[in-house]
Amino acid sequence: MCLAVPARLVTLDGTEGVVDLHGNRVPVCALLTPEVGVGDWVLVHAGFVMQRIDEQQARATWSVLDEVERIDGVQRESQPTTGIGRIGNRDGGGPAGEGGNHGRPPT
Amino acid sequence: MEGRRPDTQRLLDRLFVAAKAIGRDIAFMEVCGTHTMSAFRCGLHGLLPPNVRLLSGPGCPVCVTAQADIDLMIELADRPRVTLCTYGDMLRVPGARGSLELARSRGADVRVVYSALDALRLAEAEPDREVVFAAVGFETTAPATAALVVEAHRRGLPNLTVLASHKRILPAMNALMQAGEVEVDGFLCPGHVSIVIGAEAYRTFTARYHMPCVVAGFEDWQMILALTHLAEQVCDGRTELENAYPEAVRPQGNPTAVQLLAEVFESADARWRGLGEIAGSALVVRRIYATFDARARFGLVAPVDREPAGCRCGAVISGSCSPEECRLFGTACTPVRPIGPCMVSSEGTCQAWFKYRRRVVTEDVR
Amino acid sequence: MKTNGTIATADRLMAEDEGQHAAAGRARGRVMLAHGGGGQLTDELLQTIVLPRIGNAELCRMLDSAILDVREAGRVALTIDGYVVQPWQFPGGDIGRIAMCGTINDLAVCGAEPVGIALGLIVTEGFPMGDLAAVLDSIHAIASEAGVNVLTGDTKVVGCGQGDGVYVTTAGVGICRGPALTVENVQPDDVLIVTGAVGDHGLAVMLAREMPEVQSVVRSDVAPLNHMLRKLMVDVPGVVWMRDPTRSGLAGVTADLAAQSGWHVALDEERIPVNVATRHAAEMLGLDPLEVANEGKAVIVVRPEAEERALALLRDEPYGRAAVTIGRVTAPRDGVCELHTAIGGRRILQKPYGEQLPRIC
Repeated sequence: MCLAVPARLVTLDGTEGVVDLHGNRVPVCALLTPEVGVGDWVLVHAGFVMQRIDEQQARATWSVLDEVERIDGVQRESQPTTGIGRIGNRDGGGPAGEGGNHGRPPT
Repeated sequence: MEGRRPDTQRLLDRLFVAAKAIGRDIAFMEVCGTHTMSAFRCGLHGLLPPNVRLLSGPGCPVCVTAQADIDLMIELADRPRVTLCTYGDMLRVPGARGSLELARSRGADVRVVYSALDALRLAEAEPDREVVFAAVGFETTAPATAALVVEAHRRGLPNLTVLASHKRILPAMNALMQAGEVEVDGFLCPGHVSIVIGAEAYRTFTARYHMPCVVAGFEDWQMILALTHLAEQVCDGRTELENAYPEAVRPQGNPTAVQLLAEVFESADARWRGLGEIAGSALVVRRIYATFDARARFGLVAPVDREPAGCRCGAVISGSCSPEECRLFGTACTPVRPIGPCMVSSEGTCQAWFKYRRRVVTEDVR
Repeated sequence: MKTNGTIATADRLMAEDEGQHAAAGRARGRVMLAHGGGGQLTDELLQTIVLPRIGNAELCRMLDSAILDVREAGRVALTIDGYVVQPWQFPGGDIGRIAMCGTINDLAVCGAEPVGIALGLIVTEGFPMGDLAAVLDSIHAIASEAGVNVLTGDTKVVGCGQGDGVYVTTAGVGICRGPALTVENVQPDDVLIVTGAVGDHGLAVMLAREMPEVQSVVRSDVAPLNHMLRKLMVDVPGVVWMRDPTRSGLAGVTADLAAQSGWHVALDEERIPVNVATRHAAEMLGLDPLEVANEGKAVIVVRPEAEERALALLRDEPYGRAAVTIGRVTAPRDGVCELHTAIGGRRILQKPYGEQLPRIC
């Protein structure tokens, strides 16, 4: 219900705009975001533009994710995320229904 | 902005490291139905460290809407010349006398809309019908309703009203903490509500309850990132407000939307399923816009609330009971024949649990 | 004389105009109740609208029953489907196209070679004749491509306000070739292949119906798969089971596979192909591409040693270019289909409940 999807604003006429959602051209109302302009990436919810996506902040988030491991200052090798081979190989997390249970004491 | 994905494995490793350092059992709570759904859909619960639990709080607006409000929607829809517009989520939610879907099947004019402004277009296109928009949702959705009212006022539309059932999330979070029934070590704050109200909205809450709060997005990696931040806070003994979704959530939110909300709505007390009466938790239409308030226009009297016998939606919503601890779950109450809203709503905890976690075992295994 | 010349010119122009209309097959007017009455007007409808478009030797005999010679067949497959899609026309196809492909594909995934279609039409009085002609043109196009004719048919007309334009029913007969494809043969280590991206048909129809103001590149994938699947059955030993993921989508088919075989089915979410535009349209509408109908795809279970060859063959075909392995059958015998998510989590895939998407087939 609360889902807002990122899209690119391609036309704007007053408060009536159209966003491109990866091949879907959707009419939107930009009444809530007078500061957006054509070309901006925005978040759209239920036919309304809710906010302009701040690309600089997005990049900042990415750089935080790239930071070195918290412990030991040692950068760990990450496991490649491939396909079928991953099935059943993940340690430390049980299959759905076990582990991290809602309302149950952990095993 | 497709394409690059962060290394979620690394993020999970960080989470495990922090959880291990903490040692004791900890629980974090999300208060957004979309977080509930996203977590289940990516199988997040099964990936968490063994001492970390993710609880679902009162984040599904459909689930927390008082049954009385749903009954009002149905009553209006049943009236002649009334067209009731609703978001799809509300269609199957059971009231005392069935659902909007059932009402539609017996001839009520119920229309699913994707935008509040669709109701406006409908009112203009069909001037001899009374168009009522069922406005449900938190602060993410409320500005759209406010825009609808303002625009209807501007155009002087005589046949459009809203039945406002909007809720505010912070009063509910406060009420949860005041009730003291749930033990929580931190909150994932709803990313899209926060687009509107801003990250700073949680500042007082964080300070009052010494509660780590992280504003989180809805992608799988964004939820893991937020949980990692929360765990690291607990590990360090910090109780801070962090924004892990800064590209969308500004400190002050969306001022235009906030202003529009203040223009059209005022806060009022409201009854939440499972949490009882919460002060200032609902948005009601201001008197100056009474022309567009369905409650005023139709002189609606809220019917008495009745919880179905055995239904534990209230406890599930407040995070104090898991779906499987409700004896109706999976037996009398299923998505096909739901009893409570937690099972009907596509964001309800019970439906998510039923759909994504419950295993139907075959005879052989037994 | 000039006057004569002018009249002659006018006559000639009118004749040319009529001829153009006839040549373009443009049908005018609307369907009337009498067109379904079985009398002269029905004959006229058949002769001017129906037979010129989908006629063939057997159909044109216009007998009460079509006669098929299937003495060579050990087993005969029979299937039927009704089509009530709203709107009748959508990006990528129309009701005629899916009526033919749906039934042809139902036969093909059972390992049967389609040999004929029975076609039932229920038309609402007032339906434009031009639209009916377009539906028939689509039926012809598929009949031609798939090499499967409509051998017998029926047309009824219902009053204004009854029905929704046009409903189509197709029953299909096929000759079973090759080994029987039964779910009992499915066993651990068998591999699941999907022939291409999922979710397109259902999303195309939903957008057309619910959000006509959205201009989308999403198009129905409706296509006849009989040639491709026949080739697969002939060239690749080790095909165990097939289904077309129509209503209830990929999730429905894989959940059924697990439940009916009794085995566990593990799917890799990142491997399941979904077109970008479809994925985002689905998000916008609150739908899951895995639970949405496809009309030009097949889910195929093959023995692991046949996987490579099956994929190579499918990718060589126009309707299988994006064929990919998406999962595997495994122990234990729990009858559960589980999706492995991008972050390494798991969630159970069940058949979607109830009417998620009305009137998409």
